[in-house]
Amino acid sequence: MIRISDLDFSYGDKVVFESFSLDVPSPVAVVTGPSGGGKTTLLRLIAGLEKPGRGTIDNVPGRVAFMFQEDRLLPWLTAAQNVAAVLPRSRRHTAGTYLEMVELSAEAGTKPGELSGGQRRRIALARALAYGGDLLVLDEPLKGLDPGLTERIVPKILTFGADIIVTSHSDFETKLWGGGIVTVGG
Amino acid sequence: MKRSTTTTPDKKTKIIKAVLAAAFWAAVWVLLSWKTGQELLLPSPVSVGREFLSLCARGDFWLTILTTLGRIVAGFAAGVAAGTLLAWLTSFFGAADAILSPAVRIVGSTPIASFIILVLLWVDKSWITSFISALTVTPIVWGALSTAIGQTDASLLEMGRAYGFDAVKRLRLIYVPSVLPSWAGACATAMGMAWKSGIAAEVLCQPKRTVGAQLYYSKIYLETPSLFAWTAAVIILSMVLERVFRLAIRRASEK
Repeated sequence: MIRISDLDFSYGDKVVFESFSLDVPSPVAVVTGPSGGGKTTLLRLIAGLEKPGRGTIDNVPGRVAFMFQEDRLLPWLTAAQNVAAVLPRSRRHTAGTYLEMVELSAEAGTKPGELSGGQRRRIALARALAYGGDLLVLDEPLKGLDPGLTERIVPKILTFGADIIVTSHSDFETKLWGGGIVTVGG
Repeated sequence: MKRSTTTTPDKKTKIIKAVLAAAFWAAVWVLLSWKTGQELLLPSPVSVGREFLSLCARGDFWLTILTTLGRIVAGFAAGVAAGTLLAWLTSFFGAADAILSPAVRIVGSTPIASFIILVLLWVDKSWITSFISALTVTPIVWGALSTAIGQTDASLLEMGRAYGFDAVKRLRLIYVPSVLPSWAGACATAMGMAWKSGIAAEVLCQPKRTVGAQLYYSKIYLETPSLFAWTAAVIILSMVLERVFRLAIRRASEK
């Protein structure tokens, strides 16, 4: 279990966390709370993308797959190439499997600029799944996806075997993930 | 998939506009030359065209063109290589930036004529075209590429770090595709500058069998149509090379 103890973090003068402590539920933790409340910052701190001013974050697994709030796809690569980019050479041929998981096999050869926002989001999700690891940190992975697709994709991620920390903006998504709920900034 | 070979309306309009613009400037030239009435000051397009065709029929014309072309292309290639290497070094290594950047900036701001005279003291005349072209191209490519490297999308770089991209992967998948358009644009601009500076160096130093030397002789023997014809040859060559370069870059980036 990831343990956050006595954490301080701020962006310049804006304090996001002050003496914040938390035992992150596992295997699934759903992070909720108002916009600007610190959900993304918490995920970035856990993934090691931000350094806390004070305090500790313990028991974070070695390999963390982080899905950013923005797609951050390489616009010059196709969907399949974006996924393959995070795979070792010997496993690059498996990129299609991850696109299939997010129901984007037909768009494997298409570049992100020619896809909708929801489709780009799914490529970013496929990329995080392909990178794998012991912990999946997913920042708004279902943004822009219709409910039917969300219902089909979430169970596939849950069977992945890794611990998951995910942000959610709706009760519908929170129920689907079905893990322990962490509220920040509320 | 077959490529369409039909001319689109946009392309047609572009061609018509280009032809009209050329016709306009040809008319201005004819008018000015007729008004001046002196071939020595401003030859007519007809006499320049006649001179150009007669030059084309001579074997030594092509040999001269090839000599200058070869030297400028060699200088351009060396300048692009040096500018590219320096940009990567100064962007990623603080010590290299501290040592090399001021030197490249000084080279970029020094008048070409000063360099031509100075370089003439150091190297053989036959090297001057390549040397000056390379010296002109290097700061242009370095400046544009350094700026482009500095402006690489930080969010993509962070993504690369989060997914464990090593230096080679970051370079291949993020930096190179990001900076390629700026680098190619700078190289195309630098190619024009390589021609100008290379020919200027040849005019000042007159190495054997070069376009610049021919321009100089045309001037001292008061053969103005010949001066115009050689200039036309340089312009055509420069435009063709720039076109070929842009096409090669486009093909490479498509791959």
